[in-house]
Amino acid sequence: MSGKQPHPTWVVAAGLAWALGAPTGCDEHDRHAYPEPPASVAPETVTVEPRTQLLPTFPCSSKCHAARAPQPEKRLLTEFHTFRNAEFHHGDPAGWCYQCHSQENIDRLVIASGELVTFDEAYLLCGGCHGDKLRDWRLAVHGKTMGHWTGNKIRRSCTGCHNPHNPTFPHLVPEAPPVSPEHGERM
Amino acid sequence: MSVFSGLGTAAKEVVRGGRIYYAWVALLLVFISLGLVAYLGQLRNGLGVTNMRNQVAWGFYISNFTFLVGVAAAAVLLVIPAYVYNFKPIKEIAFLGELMAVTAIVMCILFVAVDVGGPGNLWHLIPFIGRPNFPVSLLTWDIVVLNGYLGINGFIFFYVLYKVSRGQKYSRILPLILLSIPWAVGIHTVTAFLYNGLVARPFWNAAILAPRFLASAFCSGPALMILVLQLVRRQFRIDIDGRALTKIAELVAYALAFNLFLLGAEAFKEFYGQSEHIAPMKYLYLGLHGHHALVPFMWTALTLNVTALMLFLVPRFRNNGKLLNVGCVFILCGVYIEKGLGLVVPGFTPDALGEIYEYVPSVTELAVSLGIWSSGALCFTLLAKFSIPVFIKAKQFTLLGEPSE
Amino acid sequence: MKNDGCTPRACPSGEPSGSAPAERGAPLLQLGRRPPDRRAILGASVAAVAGVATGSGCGNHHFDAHYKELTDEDKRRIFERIEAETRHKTGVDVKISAPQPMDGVEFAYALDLSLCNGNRRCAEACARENNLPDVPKFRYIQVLEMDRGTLDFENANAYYEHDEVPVPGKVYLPVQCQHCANPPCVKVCPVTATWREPDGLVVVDYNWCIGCRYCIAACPYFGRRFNFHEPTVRPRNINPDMGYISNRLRPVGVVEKCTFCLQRTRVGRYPACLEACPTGARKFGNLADPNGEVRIMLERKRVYVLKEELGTLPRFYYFYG
Repeated sequence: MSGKQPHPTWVVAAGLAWALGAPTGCDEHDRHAYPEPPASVAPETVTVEPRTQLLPTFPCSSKCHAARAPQPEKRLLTEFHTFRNAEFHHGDPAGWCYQCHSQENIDRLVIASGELVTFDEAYLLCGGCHGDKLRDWRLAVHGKTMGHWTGNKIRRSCTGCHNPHNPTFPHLVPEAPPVSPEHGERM
Repeated sequence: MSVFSGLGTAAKEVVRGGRIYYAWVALLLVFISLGLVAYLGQLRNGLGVTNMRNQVAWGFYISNFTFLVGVAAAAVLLVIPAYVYNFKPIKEIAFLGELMAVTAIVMCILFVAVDVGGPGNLWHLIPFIGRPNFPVSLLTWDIVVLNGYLGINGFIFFYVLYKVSRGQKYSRILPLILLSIPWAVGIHTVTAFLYNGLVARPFWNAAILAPRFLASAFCSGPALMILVLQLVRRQFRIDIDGRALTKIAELVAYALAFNLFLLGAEAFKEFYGQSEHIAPMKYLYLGLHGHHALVPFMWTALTLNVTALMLFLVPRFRNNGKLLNVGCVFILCGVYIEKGLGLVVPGFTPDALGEIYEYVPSVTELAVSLGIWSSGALCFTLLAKFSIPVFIKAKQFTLLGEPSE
Repeated sequence: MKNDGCTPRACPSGEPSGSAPAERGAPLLQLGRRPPDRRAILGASVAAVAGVATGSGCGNHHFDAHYKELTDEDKRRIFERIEAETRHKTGVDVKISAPQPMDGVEFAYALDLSLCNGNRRCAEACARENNLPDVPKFRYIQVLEMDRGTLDFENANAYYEHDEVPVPGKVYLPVQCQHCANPPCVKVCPVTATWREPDGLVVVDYNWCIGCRYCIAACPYFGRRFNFHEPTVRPRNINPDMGYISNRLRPVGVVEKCTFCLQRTRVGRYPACLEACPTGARKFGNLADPNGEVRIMLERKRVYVLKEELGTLPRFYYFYG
């Protein structure tokens, strides 16, 4: 019933009253009432978009870090990851690699509890500080969801949009504007 | 059989005429052809040849339509004194009012027809074969009342003509004539509601709109009538009682005063309150964010209307034929601007998202409109030429002298 | 000329849709059914006259019945005709479909204004998905740029051009059809060429629209566009997956609008604008589903709708996440 056009009885008086009243018959669309839930809600499966396969130097352990022992002391990187020195703009300026990356296993991240998580589960790490965002992200209120609204959803992980070392969303080149009728639309 | 021969001779009158008559008809035919060519171009290329755009979706065509509904409705100002108050000088010429109503409605329908993007789909409006959204859409109401008004006035006109040609009384259709009075109010109210009902357009969504429509209609229509009557008087050499003209002028004066009062009421509400709904009003009279296209027109219209009011309020002025005519021209121009461009365009300026697109009619729109006005004038001319001799023959009028032709 | 060389199959001009006996979507005004042939003849003759008048011979669709009156057979025939016409005109093989609303679904949209940075990817993806004309270039989604601290349409700018966005001191508000539950545009249409579907999508029957633009006047959100010019889509830009009441190629002289990508959303996919949004500001789902994204957002966030005071009950919610 909801959303359908009303079917007026063909009586002039009634029609008139109706026309002057609520012509599209949306009385049932009370602004605080939601429509009836569907008979069957498709079971929802949410897949978090994996990140690991997108990282060009992964696994870190076998590509570079195997040959060198971890150096836990904080310092300016001069040999590798030098761009991180300039790029790092996240949280405490005194932050350091091993705040998030595991010293024991460079292919893993370390969360507040000390547990190790994969790069695909980076949201667990981010959520350690940004709990409100993690909560919203889990509910699909924050972050990007793709796939099918009917059930099979793909959720982009935090690091899919935010560079964890510089998480401010990057500036973008906007698409061209529509053509305003003042200029050029007249052909 | 004398009826038909009588009508036959009347029909002959249509093709007989002096040089001025032929020149006038030829001029109208040229304008109509121009309009037709322009319209064919519009059909071929789409409404893009007009200057209407998504921001200003209605323009000059609908402006003219709105103005002409007012002209049509104004016939009632002849019918009321003629039939309700039995004022004889006006009763003699009431049929010209009906003729003007018919002509105006025909023009209205043409203006709407040229405005639609798919004239081939217009049959969707017809009951039974189409799907008219009646009674929800005010546009369907407008179609019903306009066609009804056309039917009523057309019928009255030809019935009276027929009866008069046979020398019979036509009092039997008095109820129909009286029905045309509320109907005239109806067509204008419905047309006002067409705009009035749109919550998206604060400039139109004000309860004052319908009263203002009526007030301005009762200025412009009769003003046009006074001018036409004088032309008819001169061309056909018939005696139209001067009292008829001054009576109409008096009614115009009241309507004009009321119209200006309503405008003032609206201006007060907007300018005192300074809410965001002031934007269209500002656009009209002061200009908005550097856009001033309509400002000179609106001030011209206001000046014309106020001057005309001065002329019409003073009996000495309105009884002076020349000043009366000047006043009528002022009112016509004033109301044409105010109710044409000044009503339709600011409804869209700024548009629903605040964008300002300055609309001015394109050459195509002007040409098509000229064509429609000319076809209206032609329709009036031919029907007047056809009918007036019948009335003269029936001794409805006293002739001023021998026809010059 | 757009009509020359129509194959006979492409223009079954002798097949007025009036022969459609079925009447599923009940029309607002039903003055009894009449013999279909009479209607067909009338409709066809009127349309024939009009067709001659408009110079559009077989390319016109003036015979087609209203979408709600089409039988499956009518649809098959009309879809095939449009497919053939499109192939002839553009050389592109397209597929016309008419996915039906699902039970228990009412679509709603939500947009996180704290995330939108005005990059217009949504408007661009929408244009491609929905076969918006390359010329003239208009968009269903108007992204308004406003000064921070205001929400003032009158001083907004939809035509901004910057090297990069967001510009400091500016905020962005994308506006498209709000798919109102009480749509003022539907009310005013004189021929019921636009209506609200059971799943809440406000759609237009392009073959039925007469192009009076009353709906554009009635829309408080600039949600509708009229084809003032013959819309031209470059063949390489054509999206061949077309919905009859959504993204198929539109004729000149009719009104069109956002349909929440009906051809996608009714088969479970997300609208193109949502998928294109790089910031994840756009949310879409079933309002009737208590676990749907939009419902959760509604329950957890402070939302607002545009011009709520107009009583249009938009199904497009803005929020700050």
